[in-house]
Amino acid sequence: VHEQPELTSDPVAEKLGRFTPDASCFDRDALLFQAGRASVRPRRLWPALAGTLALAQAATLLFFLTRRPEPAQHPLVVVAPGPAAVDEVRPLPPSPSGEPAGLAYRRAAMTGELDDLPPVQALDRPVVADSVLSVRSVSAVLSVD
Amino acid sequence: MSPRQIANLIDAHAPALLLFARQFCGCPEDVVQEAFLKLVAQREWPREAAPWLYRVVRNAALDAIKSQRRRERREQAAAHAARWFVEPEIDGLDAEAASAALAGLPLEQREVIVAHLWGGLTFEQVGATIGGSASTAYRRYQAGLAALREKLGIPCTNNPS
Repeated sequence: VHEQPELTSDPVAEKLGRFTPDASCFDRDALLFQAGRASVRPRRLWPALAGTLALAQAATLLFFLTRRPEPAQHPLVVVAPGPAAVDEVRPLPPSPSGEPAGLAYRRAAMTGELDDLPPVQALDRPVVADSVLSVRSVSAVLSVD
Repeated sequence: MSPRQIANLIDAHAPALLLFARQFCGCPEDVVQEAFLKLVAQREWPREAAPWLYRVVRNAALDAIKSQRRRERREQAAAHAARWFVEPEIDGLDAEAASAALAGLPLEQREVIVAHLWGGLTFEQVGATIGGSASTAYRRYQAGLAALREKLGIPCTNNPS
């Protein structure tokens, strides 16, 4: 378009163009120093990472400090009822033949001599039905050694 | 951009940019320095650095005028006392007389003359800098030269009449 024909054709432009603009008051070194500082890109990765971790730590601490303590969990203990105590059974009176009552019963039952059975004595405290049945208790009841 | 390139750019354009900024405000050093710092801070380097610098300097100088008018008046007075050119005279043309004649022009003509004559910008670039067309810049340039010719008493060789 309009390229610089005036520098050669116009005497005013030609003379003025030969003047050098004064830049003595311009501190070139200071500008270069400032430009060097301005050209440094700030590294935001590590500050961002450190900030994120610090926030996470603070959030975790806040969570633990403000958490309401839960009620203590007591272990559930089931107490099973122990075996019922077997009352001492009074031994049967000896049979007339002198043998133990248990043997006398058995023998009478096997031989059919039911009349010779020793008299049955009622127990003062009979064994309850839900009591534990053991050899010892049966032996004690039947007076079998 | 390397420091060497920045230094070369400063050496090539800072004086003319100072003269250009001086047409607007009394603190041309600050405006030019801010322009260079802004250029360095750019993520993408402008395709043409010189027109970009002139545009930034012009906008910054106009902002300085708007925001600090009182301070500008004081600095403007100081700027008139400052030396504009290095050489005291060239071919009988006194530098102070040239500065005074240039300062007497309207701002719209001064900025075009400085940007084209000392900044080396084409009229298209000058037009983009001032927010106008190349034709507008050329007309203002010619009008400014005519005024300078009259002030300095230099006849035009192309048009002796």
